[in-house]
This record gives sequence, C-alpha cells and structure tokens, in this order.
Amino acid sequence: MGKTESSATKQGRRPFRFYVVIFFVGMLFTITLWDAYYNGSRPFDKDIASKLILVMGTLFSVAAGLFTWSLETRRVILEKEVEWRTHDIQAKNKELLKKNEEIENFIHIISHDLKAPIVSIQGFASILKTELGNALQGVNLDYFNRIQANAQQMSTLIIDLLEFSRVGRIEDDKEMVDTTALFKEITEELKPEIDKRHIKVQLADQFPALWGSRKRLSQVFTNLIGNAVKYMGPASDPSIEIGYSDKNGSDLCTIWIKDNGIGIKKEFQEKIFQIFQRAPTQLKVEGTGIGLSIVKKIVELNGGRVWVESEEGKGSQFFVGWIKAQSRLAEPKSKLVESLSGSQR
Amino acid sequence: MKKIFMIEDNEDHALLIRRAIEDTECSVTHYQDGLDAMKVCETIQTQEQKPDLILLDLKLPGMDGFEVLKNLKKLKWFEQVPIVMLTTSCRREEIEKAYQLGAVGYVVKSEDFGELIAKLKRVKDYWFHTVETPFAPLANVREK
Repeated sequence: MGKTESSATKQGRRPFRFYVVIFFVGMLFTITLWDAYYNGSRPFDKDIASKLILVMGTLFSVAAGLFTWSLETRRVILEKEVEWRTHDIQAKNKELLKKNEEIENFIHIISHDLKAPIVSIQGFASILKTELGNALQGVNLDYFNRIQANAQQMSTLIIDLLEFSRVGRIEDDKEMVDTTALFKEITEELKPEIDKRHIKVQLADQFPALWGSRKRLSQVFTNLIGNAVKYMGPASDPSIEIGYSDKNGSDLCTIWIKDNGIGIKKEFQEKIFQIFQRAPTQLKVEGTGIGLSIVKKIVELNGGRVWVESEEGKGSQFFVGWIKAQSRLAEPKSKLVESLSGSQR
Repeated sequence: MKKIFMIEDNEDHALLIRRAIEDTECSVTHYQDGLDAMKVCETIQTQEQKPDLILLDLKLPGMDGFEVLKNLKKLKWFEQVPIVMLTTSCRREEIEKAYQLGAVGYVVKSEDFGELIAKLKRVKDYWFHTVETPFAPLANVREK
C-alpha cells in the first residue's frame, strides 16, 4: 500500500521504504485473519468483523487510488518536463538558425561594402592606365602596377575569407564523387601554370570514388595541387605526383600529392594549416594564407584528416584522408544518416 | 538617340558605368536613389519620354533595388522597358528574386574594367537590337 511512499525522509541518504513495512504488516494481518476464519475459530464477532472489513476495504481503495493518482501525476509532470525541454531546444535551435542567418547577412553586407571600393579603384586605375599610355613608364609604371596588384590581393582576400566562414556554416549536399575525373579536371584547369613551369604531372590511373560534396572536394585538391605548382621553386626536374593508398577495411582512403618543390621546414609544418600563417620562403608567391586553413576545415568537417610530410629543399607530400563512397553506400540508410551527421574519425 | 536611366548610389560606380556605356548613340541619365528616379518616372506621360533601358543597382539607400523595381513595373509605359540589375556581389537568391519581379538581366560590377565594358555592351547591343545574338540572362550566374 504505497500511500506512505511520499513520506520518505529527507535527511537520510536512502529514504526509508515505508511501503515495504506497510505491505508486510498488512499481509501478516490478512493471513492471520484468513487462517483463523479458515480453521473455524472466529477471533472477532460479526459486528467487529464487518466494521473491520469496511475500514480495511476503504483504506485499501484509498491507498490504491492514491497510488494510481501519484503515478499518473508523475507521468504528466514528466511529460510536461519533456515538452518544456523540447520546446527549449527548439527555441534554441531557432535562435541559432537566426544567428546563422544574421552572420550570413552580415558577411554578405561586409563583402559587398568591401568590394565596392575595389571595383572603383580597379576601374579608375584601368582607365588611367589606358589614358596615360606610354606616359606611364619606369618606376611610375611599377608603382601603378603595385597599386593594382594590391587591390587584386584585397579582393582575393575578401573572397577567401568569405569562403572560410561559409565552410561548415552552410550544409553541403553529399554524393559519390568520381575522383578520377575530378583530378583530370583540376589538372586541366591548372594546365597554363603547370606548362609555364614545365612541371610533369603524374596521376594514378584510377582513384577510388569518395563520399562528399563535389565542390568542397574540388576546393581541397585544387588548393593542394595549386600550392604544389606555386611552391615548386627552381627544381631541375619539376614533378607532381598524385596517388592514393587504400587499406582494406578502412573507411578512409588516403590521397597524396607529392612534389619536389621547395619543401617546408619542420617547425612550420603544423602552422601552415592555421589561418593567415604562411611559411617564410625566398619565393615571391601570391597568397592570402587562408587556402590551407580552408582545406583543413573542409577535410575535418567531413570526418577526414590532412597532414604533410616534407623536407626543406626536397619537396612536400600532402596527405588527405577522406571517406570512401564505397563504405558509405554499403551501409543501411539509417546508419548512413547517423554517421553523416556526427563527425567520426 | 536611345535613353538610359541609371539608378546607382555609388558615385564612383556611376561614373565608371557611364564611361563604359555612354556613346554617341545613347545618353545616360543618372539618379542617386530610387525615390529620385521614381519621381521623374511618375511624371512621364508619353511613350517618347520613357527610357529605352534602365540600369538599377540592387543596394540603394532608402528604397532598395527590389522595391524600385516593383514600383517601376507598376508605372504606365514601363512594363516594356527592360530593367537590368547592377550588383557588386552576386547571390543567387537575389538574382532570382529580381527576375521574378520583372528584371530582364543583371550585371555584376566586376573589378576588371574591360570586362565591365564588355558586359554592358552586350546588354546594350541586345536591348537596342543592334545584334541578333540572344542575351542569355541566367548564363553567367556565378556559383556563390
């Protein structure tokens, strides 16, 4: 009879369980009475027995009623609580979405406002250059070109920063990406630069298909291959090799890009993946210091890993571990969704 | 002589666009904001007075480009006037919205002045019917 449950002591570490005592006392009383009447001895006369039955019956009904009532109230309270918490989470989610949208708008406005003056600078500079024609010479021409190059650099910086902030904040659609075709496309795109520096590019015949956003994968590899081209330096036989290692049983496939360019000193190998960090080199290479941090962000958000092995003067090898399409497609749908939402190594 | 109305708040950009588009065959009238332009457009009574092309910036103070576009489309004579949007950054949603409201094209104000001239020339050539090549409005929506 659980009605005394609520009187659990406050000070004890474990509240004393009154209902157990009450249950046993009640059962003892019942069994004694039952036994007495069963064996023919009548311990109470008719009057007392009938009153006893009335009292016991009433007590039982009240206790049972209270017990059920308490259960129901608890359920309602719990349900309310769940409802409140869900509501809370939903509200917070909404708030986050709103914040995200605000950031997106803010960035859009900033990028617009920052780009507008660049359009003006470049426009007028270009007009001036045509108007001045041959009058612009020597050191003046150099200064002029520097102005234009700086404006250009600023514009690249804005685009890169925008991209860096977009990665991860905006959900990408994922699909099976034909990496073999992707690498052909990227090397084709970079062909002018590659040919200019007489770089030999070696691609593996076939790459395993990867699982991700095509745009993001293209960004990652364009950046890495582009860097290999940019930081080639005075190598006598410049070459870039792109291959992969694919262990059976692993979800990740490691694609590597190897060059025999200028390489990176040991102490800068971690730093180059941080935003605005560039390894000091003798080469004058244009860049914003954002590229590799975008690469790292994309790869890690997709559950992969990116690292570099390099020796100064001998070249670098960049590794990208990325989820294979095969391991994604083989899984049942529910598991697929689950593992896509959580980032797993 | 063809008439072009340009509604652009950035004076530098207005200067550049005017230089890029104005020639002996067309004249450009510049309005600093949408309200100014609306005031003038509302007074137009005859078909001869209406502009042949409107270049409209998306981001304007007071009344933004979309609103100006909506209001212009309501005016008499303006239903047939091609309105081309000018933008600095191109967001797909914005461009789609502009098309829905009745714009016929858009030009991203590129940093490369030569490119800007080429883009504006293409718009002009198409709408003034000096060339037959169709101007594909959505063809150069760049990915955001």
